[in-house]
Amino acid sequence: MLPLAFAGEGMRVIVRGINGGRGVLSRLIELGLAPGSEVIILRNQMAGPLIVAVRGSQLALGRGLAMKIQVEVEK
Amino acid sequence: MRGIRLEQVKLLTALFGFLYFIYGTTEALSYFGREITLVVPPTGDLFVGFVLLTISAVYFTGLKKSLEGSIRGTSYLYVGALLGMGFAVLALLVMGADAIEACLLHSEDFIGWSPLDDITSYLILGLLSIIAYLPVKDVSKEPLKVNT
Amino acid sequence: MREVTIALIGNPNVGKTTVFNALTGLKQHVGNWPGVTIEKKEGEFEWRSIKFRVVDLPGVYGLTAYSIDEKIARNFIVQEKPRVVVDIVDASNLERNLYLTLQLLEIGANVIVALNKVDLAEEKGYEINVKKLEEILGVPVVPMIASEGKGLKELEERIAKSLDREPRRIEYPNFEAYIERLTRVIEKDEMLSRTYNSRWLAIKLLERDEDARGIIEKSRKRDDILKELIDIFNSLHRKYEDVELALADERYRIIGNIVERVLVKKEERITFTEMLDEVLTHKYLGIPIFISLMWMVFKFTFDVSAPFSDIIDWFFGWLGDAVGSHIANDALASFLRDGIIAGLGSVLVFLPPIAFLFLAFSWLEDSGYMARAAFVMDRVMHRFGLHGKSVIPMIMGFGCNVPAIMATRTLEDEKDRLLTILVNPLMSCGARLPVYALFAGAFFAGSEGTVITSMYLLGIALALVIAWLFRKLLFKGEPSYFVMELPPYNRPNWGAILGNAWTRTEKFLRKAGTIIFAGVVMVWILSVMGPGGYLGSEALENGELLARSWVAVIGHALQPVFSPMGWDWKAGVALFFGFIAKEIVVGTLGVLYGVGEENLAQTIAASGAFTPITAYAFMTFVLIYVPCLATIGVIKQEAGWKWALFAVVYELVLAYAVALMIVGIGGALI
Repeated sequence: MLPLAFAGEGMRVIVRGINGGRGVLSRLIELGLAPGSEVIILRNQMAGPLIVAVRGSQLALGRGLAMKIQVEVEK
Repeated sequence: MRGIRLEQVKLLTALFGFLYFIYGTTEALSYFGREITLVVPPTGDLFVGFVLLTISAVYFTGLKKSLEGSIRGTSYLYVGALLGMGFAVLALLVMGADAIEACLLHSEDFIGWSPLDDITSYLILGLLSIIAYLPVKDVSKEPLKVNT
Repeated sequence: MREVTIALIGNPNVGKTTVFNALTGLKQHVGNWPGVTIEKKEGEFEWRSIKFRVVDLPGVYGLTAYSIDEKIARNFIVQEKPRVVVDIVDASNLERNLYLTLQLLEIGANVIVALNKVDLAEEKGYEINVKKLEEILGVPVVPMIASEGKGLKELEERIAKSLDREPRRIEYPNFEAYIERLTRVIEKDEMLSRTYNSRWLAIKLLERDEDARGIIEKSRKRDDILKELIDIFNSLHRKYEDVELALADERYRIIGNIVERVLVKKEERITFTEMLDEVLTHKYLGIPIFISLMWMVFKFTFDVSAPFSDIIDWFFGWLGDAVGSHIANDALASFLRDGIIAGLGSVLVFLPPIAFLFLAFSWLEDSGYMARAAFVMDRVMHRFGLHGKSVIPMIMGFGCNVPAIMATRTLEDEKDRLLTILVNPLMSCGARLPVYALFAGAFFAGSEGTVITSMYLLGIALALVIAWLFRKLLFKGEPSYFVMELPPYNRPNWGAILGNAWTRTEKFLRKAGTIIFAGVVMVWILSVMGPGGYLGSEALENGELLARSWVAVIGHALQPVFSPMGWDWKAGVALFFGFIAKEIVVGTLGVLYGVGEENLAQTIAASGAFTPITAYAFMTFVLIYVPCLATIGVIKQEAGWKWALFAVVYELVLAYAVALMIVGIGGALI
């Protein structure tokens, strides 16, 4: 398990947990980033926000938020 | 589906990166007082220099990627060409607006204006960018095939 | 004729507006949702002998009611019970879009799925089996390409034919038993089950939804329901850590099954969007490209629109003279010529650049670039306590602060939004440019460009510093989390772009136009009238006569305030009227110096009223102090009186401090 913010470009990961308030959580779920979702990291330049692909759409995620999303690297 | 060869990407990004770099530099220099005329005189606008150098950087990044053997270099060629052509379209629109001022309104500031006055480096480079755009133009309709 | 209400709903960027416009044509009505500043659009269309009233709900990703948009959409469906809810689904993004569809089915809405952008899905290599989707969802599915008008007729027909359809029920296998149990208890309260879908209430109660809880509180059977709920939670918690998450998981599992059965991905391809994103969101290239594009937007805005402004200017000049010379009464002629017509002219001269700016912005928005701009700039904005999405209103502020402040509505967090509103007037709007041009031309000939650019840069720097300061002092905490969808890039849909640009331009005309117009008329009245009565229209051209007007009285009263900066009473008057709108500053100086705007620069330079330093200080004061009346009005509308007043005060103080500093430092250096 590692924070999404540390996953490298091109990696495929599975969301395992999200630390955050109800508001953040439900917004992320609606956008497809629910626990169990497969996420592909399209851009992670180790500074500033990330771009990820999840359930067929692309999302921009702030680095702070990406630190709160725990993911597991897919084998 | 027509494709593009990596060699072609290398050549085009190198060529246009270089051209935009030269003109970007002369524009930047002219802002600081050193005018060098290469075919057309510089506009003296610092931002023109900035934009031209940015486009040059886009091409050169594409060159670097394609030298590393990555097909991603094609993306830079495509965006560089789009930006360059967009800039040229802007130049044409400005020329049209100036023509209205000069011919229809006879504005004081535009006495003796001729279309040649609005022919700038970025207009010419933008028109030349069509050469870079043609091999990659189909990506907006169909995904691109890159042959290595 | 029978009248029926239907609603349109969908995720952002699915082409909802396009479908709405195509359905209703020009029969639209724009208002606000009660109590909030979110736009409510309604329209109508007829099908055979039925009249459909179409309500456009806000673009939402779900119906959990955590954001105001979602609350509005949900309340409308729950309370107003539209006969049909048309759910616009992006075929190229089926999986995510179906999440909302499922929630709509939960509420018990009579859903029709408009499967839009099927062309895009095809481009991406997706093949969707519409028949099968229809079968699994149990609701009509209409494939469409709304931007080309394809599928519209069929949609209308399916809507009309589905009016009396029984809503389809959605089942969640792992929770069905619990939902059933709770539903049975809720149904014991007839009042409740008549107004609400009891199944939906049950699901929402399991999700600990506050609104649903509030509804139950008022029920006669409150205690029974709550007892059952606690009971259910007790057994659910043995299985799941978090019931809401488990339900979300269940929904996505169902969606996953649906997608697997109806969608075939032919091949993975590098798409157009991926190619553009590779470059436009590049770590180092992203920001220079953003700056380049913005500069191109402004060149387009100011240079290309210039002849249109000149035509308007010329027309009103001609009209004023024509009207003036045909009326014998001096007061009336001057009122019409210098007041009304000049006032209208000064508003309409701004129309072309504003319209061009909106056109360029609408194009960038429609193409999908704006979301990338927010992405690229988030790093910079975050450092100053702003949100990535703040960047769009900030850039729009360079054109006009009024629509820019309205554009802050895309920011969901109240603190982020207020902060963006408060610093927005520091982004130097188009109306301030004539003032810079005048003074730069008069005192800094040869380096006008640098001086004017320095004004813009100073404005940006101040906006960032003030944002940082306010974040530390007033809005403590971090900017809210940054998450947004990056829609795929689009080839321009000119209908939508022009429509969008026009709506914004029209808003500007109505909001700013009326106030600027009134301001110019007021300047005229105060100039031709004095404590001694009517002075005659020559007052506008004759400085000596003008010295006896109300304008002069105001100027002399203000002079002590401005004397530390070395400005005379004329500058004070110009600034006073600049309060109404910044472009009036130049016109007022023209009147005060008794020359037309063409020779104004030389006259001011020769008058000795300013030195280069005091002139530069004057320019910065114009940059910073009180935005125009229209901007204050829009701040009041968006944030309330308290913040509008706060904006006025802090900007006056800041402007005074900075101007004084420039004079002080400049004086010490020379």
